[in-house]
Amino acid sequence: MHLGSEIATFLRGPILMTIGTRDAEGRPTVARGSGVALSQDGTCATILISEFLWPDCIANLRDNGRVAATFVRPDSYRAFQVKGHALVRAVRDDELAQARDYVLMSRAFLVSLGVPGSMVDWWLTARDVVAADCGIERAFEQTPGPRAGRAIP
Amino acid sequence: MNLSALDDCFEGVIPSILATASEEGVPNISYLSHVARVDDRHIALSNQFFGKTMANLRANPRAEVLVVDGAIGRQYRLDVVWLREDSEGPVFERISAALNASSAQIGMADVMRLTSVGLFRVDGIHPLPHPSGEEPPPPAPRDPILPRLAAAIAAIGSQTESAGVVEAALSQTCALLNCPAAVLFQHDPARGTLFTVASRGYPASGAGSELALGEGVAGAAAASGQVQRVSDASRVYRFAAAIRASTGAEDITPAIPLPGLEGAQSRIAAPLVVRGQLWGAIFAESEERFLFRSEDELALRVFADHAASTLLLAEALAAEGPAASPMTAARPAFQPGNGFRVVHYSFDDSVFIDDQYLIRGVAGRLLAYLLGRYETEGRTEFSNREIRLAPELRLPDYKDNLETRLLLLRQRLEEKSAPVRIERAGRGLLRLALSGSPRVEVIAT
Repeated sequence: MHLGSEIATFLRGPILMTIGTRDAEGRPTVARGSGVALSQDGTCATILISEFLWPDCIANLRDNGRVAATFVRPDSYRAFQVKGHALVRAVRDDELAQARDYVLMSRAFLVSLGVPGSMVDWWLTARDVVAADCGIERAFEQTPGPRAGRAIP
Repeated sequence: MNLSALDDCFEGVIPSILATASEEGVPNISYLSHVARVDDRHIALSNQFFGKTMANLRANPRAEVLVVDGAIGRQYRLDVVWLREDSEGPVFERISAALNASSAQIGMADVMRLTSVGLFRVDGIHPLPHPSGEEPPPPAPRDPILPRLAAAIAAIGSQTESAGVVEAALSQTCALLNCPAAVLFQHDPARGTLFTVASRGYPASGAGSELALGEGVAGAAAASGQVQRVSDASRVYRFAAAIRASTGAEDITPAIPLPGLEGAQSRIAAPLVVRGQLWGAIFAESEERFLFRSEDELALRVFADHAASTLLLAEALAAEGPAASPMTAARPAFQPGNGFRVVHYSFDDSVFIDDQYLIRGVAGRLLAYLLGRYETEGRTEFSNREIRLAPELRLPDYKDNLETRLLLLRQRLEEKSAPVRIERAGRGLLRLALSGSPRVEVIAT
């Protein structure tokens, strides 16, 4: 499936992302992303992930590629989740710069919402980022409320 | 590493995240509004909206929760195994009350009502490193609270009259918790509400404003009998706004605005209970995020118990005044045209002065009684004893919190710049101060 232009715009904003993967035994793990870019045709989301903070996530993606990723605006809680398969690769220079920009932008945004910057520094980093190209198979609404979980056509 | 070392992760400051995987191995992410520590090996998660998560856990109970220390920001991954869902019992009640404290303060208690809590065993705790590779220095330890608690209890204990006890309850709550604003609520069993007796730290006292039991942090504290805390109110509001936008839930507008700090982040409330009876609640708030910790909760609980007993004692020992109220020599002379109209709706005892809403409930009935007596007898002085015994006031026959009702009424009249005020006229005596002649109209519907 592909994601529309509205979601592409949303992904360029100050969003937080969470990545779910699982190991060969089916045990899931959580990670945070450090940047995302949607492909031109909207079928692939490239998520940047710090292997320093989230080695298990990267190991799982290398093992089986199964991925769920949630994108949320911390000011409005508007959120959606995509599911698919991901391939891990090294980042390009422009992607490393993108991760650094993302960390700065999101940190500033969270600080504007009253979250101390020293707290954000534990969560968001461009250190040792790798790229996960996620082929999007399904997408779901995840804004809190009764519509959470509904499939996005 | 033990779960009890992670208390600051279970304060609901930063959302926790749960990862599950389906039987087919498809991962899923959900955000959790509340994670509670049950004991050293178990946690409970609020299950509000997520159907997919539940299906996954039933098929594959192994999961991971990412929690964040609300004071520092450090992240922990918890290896967990889902054991069961509880829709009753002590753990469910505790999380339900905490959740209601958050959601009720924005009038969302029904929409966000908890259906069950998931009970999980924690098999591993993994602290994540700081990305810089170096840990920032830990924050300075907080001042011990016990000396402040002792001072607060001594200060309220030295008060003898209701007005002084109420003032001390508010000022000492602020001193105890290092916060700028507090509200004292009293329970009105007939209406099933809490009403504001007095407050501190707000532009307007909000005296007389009402809160349903279970509504807001104070309402939740009164309804549950437990101290309630919110550590990041702005997050609760944003979360609620998202739900409201997607459900069309409506706001609740009270008649008198409740006192409230704009931009308050931390809120706490303790029930005031004496001899097993709910007297009211004490509420405090601050713009500072995550100001109130678990030890503040305990300290406020102890202080609230003292405050409640002292309030009740001040009422019980209040001067009664003479049996017959003294006659006032002559009606005050007013300028012609200085009259004002008082309408008393007897169905809810709401009182309007010159078409402006003043107050309702017992305090409304009291004012209507005093003004009615003035109209028929020309009296401006009244004894507490007379008021307590007046059959039309239908005050409860035991101690009736008359003092705090009068305190509230006095404040409300002052705030509305009403043409009638209530003054003390001696021990157990009060006096109406009028700047015009009232015409009281009773509307029985």
